[in-house]
Amino acid sequence: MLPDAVGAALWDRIAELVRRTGAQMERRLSDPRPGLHLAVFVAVGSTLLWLALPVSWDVGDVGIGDSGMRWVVSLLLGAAAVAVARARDRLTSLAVLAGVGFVIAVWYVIHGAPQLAAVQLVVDGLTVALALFVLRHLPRSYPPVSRRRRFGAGVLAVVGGGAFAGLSLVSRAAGLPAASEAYIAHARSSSTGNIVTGVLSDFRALDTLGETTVIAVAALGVVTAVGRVGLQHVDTVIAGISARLVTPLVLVLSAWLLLRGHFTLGGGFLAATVVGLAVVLRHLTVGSVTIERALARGAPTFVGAGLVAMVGYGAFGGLWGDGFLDAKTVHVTVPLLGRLPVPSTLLFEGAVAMAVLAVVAAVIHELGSDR
Amino acid sequence: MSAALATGLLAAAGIYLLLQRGLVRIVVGFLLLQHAVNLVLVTARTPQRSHPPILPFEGPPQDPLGQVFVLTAIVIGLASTIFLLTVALRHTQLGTSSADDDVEEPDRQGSS
Repeated sequence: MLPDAVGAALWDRIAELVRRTGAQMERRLSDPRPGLHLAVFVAVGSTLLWLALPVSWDVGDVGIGDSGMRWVVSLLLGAAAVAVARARDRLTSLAVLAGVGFVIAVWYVIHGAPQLAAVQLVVDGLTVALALFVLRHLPRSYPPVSRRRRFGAGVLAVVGGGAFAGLSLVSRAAGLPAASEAYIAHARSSSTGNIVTGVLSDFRALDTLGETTVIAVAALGVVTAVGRVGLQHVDTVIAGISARLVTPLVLVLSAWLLLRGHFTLGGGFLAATVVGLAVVLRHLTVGSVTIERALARGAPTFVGAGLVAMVGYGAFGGLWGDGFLDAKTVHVTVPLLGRLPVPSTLLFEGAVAMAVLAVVAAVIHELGSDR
Repeated sequence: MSAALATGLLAAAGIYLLLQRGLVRIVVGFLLLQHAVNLVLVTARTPQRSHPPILPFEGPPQDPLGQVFVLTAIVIGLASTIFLLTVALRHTQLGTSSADDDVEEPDRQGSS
């Protein structure tokens, strides 16, 4: 046992040390500059990636050669990315960012992912339109950055970019993983044609339900954070006519994408975001008219209804299939068209489309209004 | 190999922008980084194949699993981008000019 005096002194010393360390930690952690925290995150993340790379390094028997077309598109993509990073004003960087999204869609096509290309194109358009709505309220050029900071960011960028490039080179194999083979085998024995949408609305339907919830929560955040006042629109003759002409075409295209998503390119999310692009066009030209306004006002209701429909559909899976969210295909004979396969996932995709469309309409309405 | 080049440059540009001043630049950097992750996922298993996983196959198909992940990622990415943009907008509306969100130390450079 220690004498009391020593114990008390020790206690005071330790308490003082804890207090001082805590104050220092607090000063660092509560720094308001996001760059500082992100730098720590990027540095640690890239270091871990670099350390992990040699362990799994196996370029293997596949080789690393590529066709000329892939090189052209990849170089274009890289150049566009660097151009975005170097842009000094917001409008330029946004325009080049839209270009990056477009080139990525092409990249997906030549890498055998047309479904991703279609979704990427539509989401790219929507992202840029929404970003432009926000950018109207901000100054034209970015705040200047000191040379020292640019240098530091550049060093971290090279380290992190290298880690990503290494990650892209490792873990190659000649065949598909067992899970993919199982998905393909299941698709062959059912009506599914498009394996990607098939997996999302059947095997990983619960995931899709969660993902729709995430996008719904994001939209509710936007609706809550941004108050809406007046509206302003560009009502030139050509813009107005094109918006009125384009809308019905887009609705037909969207219905087509929704119905064929199970068999080939398409899907509920794609259908809804395509309509979202038409809503952007209408919002900018003829102003937000009745249907969109109603959709945007009742957005929480529509989003909720979509989610409830998804859960309800999932519950029915227990009746006609093996459990929650299980899918089944029925065959319906329609005059003129003959015997048609109707997958139950169509209901699920329809609910996704309703929720996402309400989300997109609400967000456009909120971000696109003038304050 | 070409995929690694594109992925690396996208990630580098994204990280560079994440570390700059201004919330919009951070949002743009976040988007580029997200693209880089998506490219990694698409080419994670069989980078050489180029046939889409849509039946009937014309050749050995690209791995559908990675594409499924990327499709989810794109949707969630749209949601988070929408939210980040709203935060940037509110930040400006609440009176703090966008140049103030990440001020550099005064001994290096005056603020704009």
